[in-house]
Amino acid sequence: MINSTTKVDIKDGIQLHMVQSDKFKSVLFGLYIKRPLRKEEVSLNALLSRVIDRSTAHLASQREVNQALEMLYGSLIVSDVHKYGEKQMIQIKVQAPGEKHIGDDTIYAGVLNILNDMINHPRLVDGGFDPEIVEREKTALMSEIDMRRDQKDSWVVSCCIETMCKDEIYSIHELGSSEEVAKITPKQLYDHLRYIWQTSEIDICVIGDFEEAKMQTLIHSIFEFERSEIIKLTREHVVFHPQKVTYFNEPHDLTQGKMCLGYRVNVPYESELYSSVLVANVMLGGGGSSRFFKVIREREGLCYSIYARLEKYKSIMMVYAGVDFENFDKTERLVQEQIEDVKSGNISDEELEIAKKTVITNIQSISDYPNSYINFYYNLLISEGRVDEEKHIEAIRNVTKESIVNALAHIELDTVACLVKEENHA
Amino acid sequence: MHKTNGAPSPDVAGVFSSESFLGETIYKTRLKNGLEVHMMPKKHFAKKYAFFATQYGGLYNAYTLDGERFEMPQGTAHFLEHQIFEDQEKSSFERFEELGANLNAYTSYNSTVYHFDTIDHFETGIKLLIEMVQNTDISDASVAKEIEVIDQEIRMYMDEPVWDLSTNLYRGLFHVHPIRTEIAGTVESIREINKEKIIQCFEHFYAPSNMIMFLYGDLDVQETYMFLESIFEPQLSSMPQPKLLSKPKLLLPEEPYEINYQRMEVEKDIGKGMMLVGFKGDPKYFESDRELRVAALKIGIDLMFGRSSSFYMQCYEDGIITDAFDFDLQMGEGYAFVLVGNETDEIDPLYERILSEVQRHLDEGFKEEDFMRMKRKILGRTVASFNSLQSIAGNYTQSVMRGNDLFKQLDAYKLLTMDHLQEVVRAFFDINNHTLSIVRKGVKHG
Repeated sequence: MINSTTKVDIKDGIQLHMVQSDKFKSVLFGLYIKRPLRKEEVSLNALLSRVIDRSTAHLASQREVNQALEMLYGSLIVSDVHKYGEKQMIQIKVQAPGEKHIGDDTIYAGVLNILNDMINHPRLVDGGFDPEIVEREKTALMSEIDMRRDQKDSWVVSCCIETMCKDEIYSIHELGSSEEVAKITPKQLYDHLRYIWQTSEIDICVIGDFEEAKMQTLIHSIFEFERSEIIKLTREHVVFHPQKVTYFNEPHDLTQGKMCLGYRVNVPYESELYSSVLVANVMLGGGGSSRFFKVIREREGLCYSIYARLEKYKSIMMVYAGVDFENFDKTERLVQEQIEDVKSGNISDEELEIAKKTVITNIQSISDYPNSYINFYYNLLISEGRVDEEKHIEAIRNVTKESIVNALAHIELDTVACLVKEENHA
Repeated sequence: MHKTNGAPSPDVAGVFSSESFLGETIYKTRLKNGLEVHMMPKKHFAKKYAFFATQYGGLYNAYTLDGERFEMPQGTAHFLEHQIFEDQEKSSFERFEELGANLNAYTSYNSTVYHFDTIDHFETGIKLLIEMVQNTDISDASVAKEIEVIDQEIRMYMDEPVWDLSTNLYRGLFHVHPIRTEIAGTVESIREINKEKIIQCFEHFYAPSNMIMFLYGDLDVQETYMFLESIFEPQLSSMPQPKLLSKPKLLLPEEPYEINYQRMEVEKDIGKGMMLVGFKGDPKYFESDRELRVAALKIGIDLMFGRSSSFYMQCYEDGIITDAFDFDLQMGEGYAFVLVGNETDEIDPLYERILSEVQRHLDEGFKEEDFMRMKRKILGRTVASFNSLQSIAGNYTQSVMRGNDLFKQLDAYKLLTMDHLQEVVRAFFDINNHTLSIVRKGVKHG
C-alpha cells in the first residue's frame, strides 16, 4: 500500500519524487542522472559510476566510506549505469534503515551528506579524481567488459541485440568499450562529472516511511545543484522491417547450446496496442503456463530454460532458450509456430485471462518491494511522464483476442543468435 | 470480526504457540493429521505467500525408515520435485495462474519446498497446492521426458563459470559426504531414476505428518487454521495418501574430520581466473550454543574479509580482488565450512594472503571498535530485511527447514560479546584443514 506520492520541482530539470508508505522499515533513495546513449560518453559514464562511490574529500578510501556506512547502521550505496532504450542512466541508490526503528534521527542526513560529497566534494588530486582509484577502476571495468562473454545466457542475448541493431544506437552496451575506457584520464573524468551534473535531467526518488516535509527540507539543505543548458533526449526509432532473418553463430566451450531469437514487434509504447503486446509476451513466454514453456519444455522436453522478454523502448521481443546443440532448428521452428498461431488469433479465452491476470498481478504487487517499485515508477516516469497504475490496469483489462491479433500483425523475426559448441575442444 | 491484526482471539489462543521479533509474530500449531503449520499475519502487503515443505533434499541419498535402509540415485529428491508438477489433465502452473498466483518450487540440501504467492484467492491456492503435492500423476512416460529436461538443467549449471570451482572445492573438502554432488544429481545418475523409485520416495517423505505449511500475509490466523482442518477432514479417511507415518531418517556416511585433498586446479575458457578456499570445521561444534556460535563466526569472517576490513582494502588496491570477492559460512547436517574467494588473476598471492589473514586474527584477535561497528551494521541490516514480506517468508521458511531458529539467531547477534567472538573463531578455524579450488584462465581467451 502506497500512502501518497508527491512530486516537487527543485530546479530546472531536477525533480524530487517522494513515495510514502508506512509498511516499509527502511528508506530507499534513488538518484538518476539521465544521459543520451552515445559512443562519446558511454564509457565515461560507466567508469564514473565505478569511481564516484569509492571516496570523497572527507573519506579518503573505499574502506573509510564502508566504515562510515557501517556506522550508519549498515546503510548501502550502490552506483551503476543502466540502459533504458537509447538512454543511459547513472543510478545511485542508497538504502538506510528507518530512523524510528533504530531510534537515531541522524541516519538520513548522514547518508545524504556522503552522497552529496561523492558528487560535489570528491577526493581530488591535481584537479582530477584520485589517479590511483581511477586506474584501479579502469582495470576492473575493462575486465568486467571482457568477462561479459562468460555468462553465456546473457551473452547470447547481447550477441542477438548487437547483431540485430548494429546500425542503431541501441547496439551500444551500457558499460562501453575497453578501448575507450583505457583512454580516460582522471581530469577528463572529473570534468565529465561536472558537465553532466549541470546539463542532465536529474530525478531523486525516495520511498519508505518518512515525513515528507522533513525529507524535502533535508534534501534541499544537503544537495548542491548546478544548472546550465539541459540536454533534451529524443525518442528511439522503433519500426524496422528486416529483409531476411540474420543468423549469428559463435563457438564457445559449452555443454549446452544457448540461443536467442530477436523479434521486431513494431509497436511503440505510446500506441494503444502496447498493452496487448505486454499480454502477448506473457502468453508466449512469461512463465509456467506460457506457450513456449508448455510446448518446448513440457511437451517436447527440449529445454529447462525458455522465456520471452520485451524491450519496451525499442519494441523488441527476445526469446531465450538453453537447448541441446542439435535442437536449435527445431526450437526455432516451434517458437515461430507458436507466434504464428497466436498471431492468427488461435487464442483460448482461458490463456488470455491467465496472461492478463499475470500482468495485472505484477502491477498490483509491485508496491510490496521498494526497489521494484522505485524502478517501476521511474520507468513510467521517463516513458510516459506520469505514473498511473489504475490506468495501466484498466488498459490490460481491455485487451482482447482481436487487439492481440492487431498488435502482433507486424511482428517479424530479425535475428537468431546461437552459441555453438567449439570444434576440436580438448 | 473479533480482531484487526489477524491474531487469534484469547479463547482459542491455546491452540497456537507464538514468538515475536521486531513487531512481527509467528503462530505455530499442528493439525489433526499431524501437519505442522506456521502463520505470520502481516497487514498492508498486497501479496500473500504459502510454502509447503518436506524434510527431503539433495543429501538424502540414503535413509532409514522403520529400521529399513533405502538407497536412491543422486538427484532423486529434485527429480520428484519436477514430477510433482506433472498432471495429465492440466498444467499445474496454469491452475495457479488462473488465480493470478505464481507457483514455484526448489530443492535444497535438506528440503523440498513448493510455494506460491497471490493477491486474491489465497485459500483456493492453498487447497490447490495441497492437492498438487499430495496427488501425483507419475508415469514411465513422464519420468522419461523429465530425464531430458533435467539433463538440460544440469548442463545449464555446468556451463556457469563457477561450476568447476565449487564442485572441485566440495570434492576436496569432503571424502564421502553427499554434499559432494549437485542437488540435481549428475547427467549419469538421473538415468538410474525410474517410476518405482520416485513413487517410493513420495510415499516415504510426503505424508502430511512429515511436512510443514508456512503462510504469510494479510490473513486471519484462526480462520485459516479452521480452513486447513476442513481441507484435510475428508482426506483423513478417503483420499489415497502416503501410507507411512513415521519419519524417515537421513543416513550420512562417516565423514572424516580431515579434508580429502588440498588443491585442485583446472583450466577454462574464461575472462578471469577464479579461486575459492574452504576451511573445513567440525560440525559437532555447533551442537551446543548453535546460534551464538554461528553469530560469532559470521561476524568474525566479516571482520576478517568484509568490505571494511584492512584485508579487503589492501587486496582491492593491489588489484588482487574485485567487487565480486565474497565469503560465507555454510553449515548443515554433517558439514560446516567457511568459503573465501572469487575471481582473480593473482591466485597464489591471494591464497597466501587469505591464509595469513586468518592466522593473524587467530594470533592477535579482533578490535573492540570494529566489533561494535559490526554490531551496528547487523542491527540496521536486520531492520531492513524486515522490509519485504517476500524475504521474511523466504528466510523464515528456510531457517525452519534447516532446523534453525531465525529469531533466536537474530537475537544472538545482540547477545554476542567480544570474548565469545574470539573464543569461537579460535575454536572453529583449523588453518591447515582447508582446500583450494582453482579455475585458471585458459589460453584461448587471449
